[in-house]
Amino acid sequence: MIEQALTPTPAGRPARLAAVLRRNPLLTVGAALSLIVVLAGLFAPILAPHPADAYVATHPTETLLPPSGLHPFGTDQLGRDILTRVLYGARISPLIAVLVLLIACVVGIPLGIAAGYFGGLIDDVLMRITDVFLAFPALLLALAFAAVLSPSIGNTTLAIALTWWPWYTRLVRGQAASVAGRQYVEAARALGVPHRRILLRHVLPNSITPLIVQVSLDVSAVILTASALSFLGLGAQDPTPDWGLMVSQGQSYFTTQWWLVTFPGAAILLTAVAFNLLGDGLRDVLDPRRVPTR
Amino acid sequence: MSGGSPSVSARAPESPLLEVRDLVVRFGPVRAVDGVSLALPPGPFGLGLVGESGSGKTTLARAVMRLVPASGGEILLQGTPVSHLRGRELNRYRKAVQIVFQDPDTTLDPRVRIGGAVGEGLRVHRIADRTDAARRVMRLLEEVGLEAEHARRFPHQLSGGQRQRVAIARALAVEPRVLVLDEPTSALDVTVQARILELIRRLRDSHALAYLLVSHNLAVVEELCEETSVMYLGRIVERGPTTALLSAPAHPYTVALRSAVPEIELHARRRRIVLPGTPPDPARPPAGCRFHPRCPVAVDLCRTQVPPLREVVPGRAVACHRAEEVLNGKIQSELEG
Amino acid sequence: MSAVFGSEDPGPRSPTGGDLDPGGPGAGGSMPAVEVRDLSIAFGSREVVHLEHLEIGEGEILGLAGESGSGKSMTALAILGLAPTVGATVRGAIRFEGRDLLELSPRELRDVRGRRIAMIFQSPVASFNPVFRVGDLFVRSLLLHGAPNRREARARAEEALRGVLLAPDLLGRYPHQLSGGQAQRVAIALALALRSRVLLADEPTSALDVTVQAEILQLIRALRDERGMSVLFISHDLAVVAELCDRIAVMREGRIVEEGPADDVLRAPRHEYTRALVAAVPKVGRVGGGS
Repeated sequence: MIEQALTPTPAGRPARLAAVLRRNPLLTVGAALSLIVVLAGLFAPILAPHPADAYVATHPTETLLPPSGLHPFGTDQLGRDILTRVLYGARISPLIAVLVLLIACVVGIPLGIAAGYFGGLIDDVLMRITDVFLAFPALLLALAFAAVLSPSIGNTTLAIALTWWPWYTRLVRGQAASVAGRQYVEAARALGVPHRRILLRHVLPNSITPLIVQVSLDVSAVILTASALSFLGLGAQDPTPDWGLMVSQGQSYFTTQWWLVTFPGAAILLTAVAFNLLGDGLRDVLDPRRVPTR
Repeated sequence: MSGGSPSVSARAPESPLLEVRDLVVRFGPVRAVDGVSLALPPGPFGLGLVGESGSGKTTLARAVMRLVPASGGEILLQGTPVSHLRGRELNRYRKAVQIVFQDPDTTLDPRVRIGGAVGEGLRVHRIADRTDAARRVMRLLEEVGLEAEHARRFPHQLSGGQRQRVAIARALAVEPRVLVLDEPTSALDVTVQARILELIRRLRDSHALAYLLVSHNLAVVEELCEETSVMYLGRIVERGPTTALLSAPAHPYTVALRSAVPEIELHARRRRIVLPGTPPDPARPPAGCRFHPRCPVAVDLCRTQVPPLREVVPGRAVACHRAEEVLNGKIQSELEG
Repeated sequence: MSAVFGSEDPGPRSPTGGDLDPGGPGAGGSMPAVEVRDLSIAFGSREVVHLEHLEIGEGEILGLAGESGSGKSMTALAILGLAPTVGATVRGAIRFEGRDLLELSPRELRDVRGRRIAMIFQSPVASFNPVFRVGDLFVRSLLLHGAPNRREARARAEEALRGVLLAPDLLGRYPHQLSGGQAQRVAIALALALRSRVLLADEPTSALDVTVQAEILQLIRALRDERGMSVLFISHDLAVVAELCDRIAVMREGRIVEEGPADDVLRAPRHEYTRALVAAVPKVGRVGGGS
């Protein structure tokens, strides 16, 4: 890139990253929390006190034990160690969320940008399609898709993603339409810059900020939607240590055995907060106006 | 400033570099540009296009850039029609004709550094490889009065005037033969405006630029343009050498426009002609002369017959039934109300 | 309507005479309408305006010229008591009708602001609440500032609109249905209806076409001539200031670098910066010219 060629001594990547993190406490905390979740999932077999409890094992004599030294988070209705299941859950719930949001972005962003920038017929057709999707409640639609597909984590992910992208298309389309009318986009067209390059270099970066914030807010919503599907028997099935599934199954015990719901619930909260901070931090980093003048 | 009349006589034998013939641009029921013809000779030459908001002058500029589609008429570059061009040929046209916009706040992508913005045209048109491009960007920045270190900055770190300079550098990067300047200084402070006008004048000579300068400001046009056309409600009402047109306007609208310019010098102040009413709805233009509802000297003929743009004095065309009377001062008192 | 400027010969600049003498308006017998002393406006520790003395004479049009960022608008906001709302701290004294505006309670200030002192902006449409019709805007303001009832308020609104040469049926329109020039007239009419004594005009014509600008300038001048309104006219364009103002203060980086009767300042600017401003004004018809 020309502007990079013009930068006399670009700092090395690690050094730049460190500088970015130092300037941006939100991003640092968000990244740290996310790292905790990822590490928990990655090292679950080592960290978990009772790895077998993550899947098939049951202990009929140790059901519903409160937190103790042996079971720091207590045990569930089948006598399984909740800490173990929460740690293994870090391999599932965040993954579903990330995959769903990734698919939604990959589908939603290009369509939204195209609709907003080109307008006209392309816009009309794309918006009518999203209207069809948005006319139904997301959960209902996901239910329908999940019911058609067989119950599995992969299909849950797909079903939720199918209901999620139209929101992103809408959001991006509105931004892109406003950016498309700005003079720098007109100037690029007047310069003979190809549409593809205008879209990638000018429209996309200037339309994406609200989406980043929305995506980071959506992490917990996806996890909860996935759990609702599980609850209805259309998503992850017991014994899969899915956080949402654990919360929904533990609900009936909440007044007497609080730990069944609280610990997986806390894990969802932690993940949501982590991505939220990450999203906010990312938005700041991507905004050139927040870069101090050198 | 070179005078108007010599350049007009010098222009006659040459064929125009850029020509607009009977151009029409429609937005729904509104004919924003309604049969406008212009001819821009090879540079260095400035053609002014003056009018107020709603006159269609900016739409005309955008139509020349092929940023809005024309619904009638023709645009020719060196005699070649360009209205149907697509793809690579359209790009070649756009390399030859560049535009500078009005608003310094949105003329640059906030996320692209200045160097990237100026270099984009070089890259897209494969004018220069990477190192050569960097060198050219530096040279362009210096040429428009900025420094090499500005290349690394983001638009928000520059002032409005500096951003307009960058916009000019971006346009010049692809070495255009024609520059369209759409109100390049109207959002700037007067002192900044003066410096930008100075820059344009300098570039015009060093690059032999031919430009179409769109402005509502008569003084700006007078400083930079040999010839000027005045637009009202989508049509040209008067055209001629700038100096002659401004010192002795022949269309009542030009007279009013000229008289409305605030003057800093007491002796230069003249009688204000305040036009009654507001400009009519462009979707339903009045019959006859479009200016007649606000014209202080309108007669019955003006209400029914559209005045053609006709040559009143050699080199000067006016669309007014009473142009001769306005020119020779016979109806001066009537004009001033 | 006849052109007010048409009858003017470029000699004396105070047509109404009486309360202002051309030598030093405001300095004469009468009290200034607004007097600013030792005004300091700061954002945190950064002082953006520092005025030792500035006064708007009774029935005078004072031009405040300078580039964007020079502190002109901030000064007007301070006079209106609005500077703190944008985070600035204001010190000093602003005398108006025998009181120091900086010492008034928020409630007293509200009464002064908008009624005794009115302000118009570059984009008046943006300063109107878009959901109200023009008539409602008038009636609400007038009821708030002492009109006894709606009918009376309505009548005053119509009279004020006629005063700025607008048809009273404009009261039924929404702000976005007005042209730029109409909106600026409506803003001025509001000041008229409220019987404001001082008008602060912040670049009121910068966004307008020249022919419309000429009308608005003529209107502001008529307000002064016929109703004795005092005007602070803020602009970056010295030519506009020259057209309209009796006295000019040139502001740069928060300070006044030159001040005096308009003709003196323009004909023989003493400060280098004023000279630069004068030189920057593009002039039409220097070659041909002459009517």
